Amino acid sequence: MDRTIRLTAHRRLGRRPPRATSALAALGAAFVGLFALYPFARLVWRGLSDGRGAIADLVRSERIRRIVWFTLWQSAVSTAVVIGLGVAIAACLAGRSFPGKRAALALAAVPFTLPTVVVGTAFLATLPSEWRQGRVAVISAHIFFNIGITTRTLTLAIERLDAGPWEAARTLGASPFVAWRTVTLPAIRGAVVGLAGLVATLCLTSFGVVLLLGGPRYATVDVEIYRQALQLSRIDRAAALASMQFVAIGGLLWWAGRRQPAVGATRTRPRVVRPTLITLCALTVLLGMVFIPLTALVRRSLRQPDSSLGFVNFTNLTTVRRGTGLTDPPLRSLLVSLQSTAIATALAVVIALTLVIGATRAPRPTVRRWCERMASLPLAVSAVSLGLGVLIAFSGRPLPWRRSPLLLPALQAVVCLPFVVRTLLPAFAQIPVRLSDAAATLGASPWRAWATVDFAIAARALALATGLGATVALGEFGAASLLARPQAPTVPVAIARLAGRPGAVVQGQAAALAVVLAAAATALILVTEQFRGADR
Amino acid sequence: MTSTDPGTKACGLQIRALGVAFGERTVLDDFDLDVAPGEIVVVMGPSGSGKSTLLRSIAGFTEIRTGQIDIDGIDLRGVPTHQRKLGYVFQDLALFPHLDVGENIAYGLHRRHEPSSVRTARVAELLALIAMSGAERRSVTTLSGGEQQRVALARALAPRPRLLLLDEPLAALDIQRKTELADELRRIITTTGVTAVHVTHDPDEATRIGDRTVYLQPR
Repeated sequence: MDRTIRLTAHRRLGRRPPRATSALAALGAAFVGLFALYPFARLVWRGLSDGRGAIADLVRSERIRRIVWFTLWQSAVSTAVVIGLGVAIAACLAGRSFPGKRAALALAAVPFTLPTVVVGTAFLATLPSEWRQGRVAVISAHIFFNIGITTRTLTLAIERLDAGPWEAARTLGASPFVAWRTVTLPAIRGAVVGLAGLVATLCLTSFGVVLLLGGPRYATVDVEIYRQALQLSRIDRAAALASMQFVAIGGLLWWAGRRQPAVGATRTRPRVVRPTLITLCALTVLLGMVFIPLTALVRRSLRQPDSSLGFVNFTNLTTVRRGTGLTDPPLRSLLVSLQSTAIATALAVVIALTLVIGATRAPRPTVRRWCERMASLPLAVSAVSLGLGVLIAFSGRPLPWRRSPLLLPALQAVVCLPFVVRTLLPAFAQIPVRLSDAAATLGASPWRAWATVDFAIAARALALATGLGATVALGEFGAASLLARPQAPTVPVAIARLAGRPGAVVQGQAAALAVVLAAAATALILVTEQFRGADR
Repeated sequence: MTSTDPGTKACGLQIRALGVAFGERTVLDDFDLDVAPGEIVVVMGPSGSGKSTLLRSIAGFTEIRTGQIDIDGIDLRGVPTHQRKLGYVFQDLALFPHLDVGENIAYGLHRRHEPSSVRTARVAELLALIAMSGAERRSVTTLSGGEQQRVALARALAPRPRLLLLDEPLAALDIQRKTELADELRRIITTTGVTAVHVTHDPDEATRIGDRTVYLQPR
């Protein structure tokens, strides 16, 4: 009787029944469990059971100590520079209204969506030969990769602040700089810490960039995991390294997450002022940092083997050349990538929706919290570690899926998931439950109310999340480098193979293929940006 | 006026032929106002009549097109906001959420490089004035609406401003709290003896707080 009354109440209120919501959340959690938790657990288990002394070996190894130190050092330096520059440039741009600002900020964020191998190839084309591989190259590439998205996020965070406290500080005798330092900066501290955590994580797990730009001397933990597993067949040491990395990154994300503020942007009265010369300088510096490497990459792709300018490198993409490590024309990898991206994106969006529904509508707070945690979990495990875990977990019984063409897209969906969920979650969380209630009073069933109210309101965010997921999947390199079939590489894998071989023709092909991938990713993100709406 | 805070310098406000426009829209045109030292003038008018714009022009947040604003005989044109020595109580109060009550009140004293002992004494003095003694370490986010309003007033008064500007600070309160706080507001302002311009659209509030009322008509 009690149950009947409760179900009736839910129907009357237009909310999904708790069981349906929990079942959806369980479906999403099962996917993350199967393709992230299970492989990672198998990887850790393999590391601990195969080599009891693997961790002790690592600690004793001078080389590993050097790699861990370099990983931490380059991440700290890259993060400090990105955050320092990002805060400074955002302070100059925020609140300044001028034509083209929206487009400029969107373009500045493009490098973040570029595949890491494209970034690596761009810096090979940009830097003088003596700096092409080494610390300067790695840190420069990480700054290029992260500066645009950091600046844009901070600019928007400042612009969402209410002007009241800033103006109050000014009336109390604070100069514009002092008001910024004592009022604005503390107000965006949570956003700064959150971004610093994200940038540090991305630099700590950097793989494609370091593989191409680290040279023989410099490697990160991810590159070493790859080397130990594939080149030296030391799965135990690779697993031990991946476990240590998981603990470190999980701790960093937990720390950064605790310091992020609850959603509290009021934007009751934004501060708008006229642009100044400093605004123009800041914008020039930002766009310069972003476009100089990209321009160099395009120039390199147009430089033909005989040093003249032309499109030979692009036409060479349709032919197979010996010594490239590819059995098909390089351009065929685009087809492989597009197929894989389409499946991965569809999977990521569906799974993200189930977790977002669980995180926003599940009746129990514990379920809501766990849905959010499951969605963020893949961030704490690098794509290389995940790929290695999948190789171990699905190579034999009980799940012999190693040869399945769907395995790589499923793993890429896991890699995309945190980005898709982070885009969808705020949109769904802001929809008041009473809107569904209103739909129910007008005769809509719970599912009809969800489809015509929640889903319709969040449609733009869904389109944005789909585009973002597709961009991440298109450029995914870490998992693909381990799981892509040798005869059917994705574009990032093909670029890495070409870039790793000597010769002007092959290097030209690598640059041309990187331009094709960059163009595809840029087009995708610019189309996606159209769905971002007026909140920018 | 019951007494005068000896630290607050008495002064007057003179506005002559003030003109403010946003693009093609003229908000204030040829507006004159004189406020005697220690006087509380209430500016009333319907929405869009330029009440808040008047205060923002005096504070330097809004550029004036024509006219002149003097405080104590000093022309404010070209003087940046932070050097005008004003107190401003905003409609949304604009308390600093990352600072506690004491730090909010002491903020303006910091900017004037007052030593720590002076700041502590002044904060305690103002907390006593607003009947919130001992609340220095409380978070402003835990205060009631009326307490937040009083802290915002104390913060504006702490650096002993030459002129206090109040932009509908009671607008968000219910009628009973508004009546109580309007009387409280007048008591505090008259105790300090500061010259004040108070903006409201509530005639009862105007009567309770002001010595004189000025009406603005929408243009």
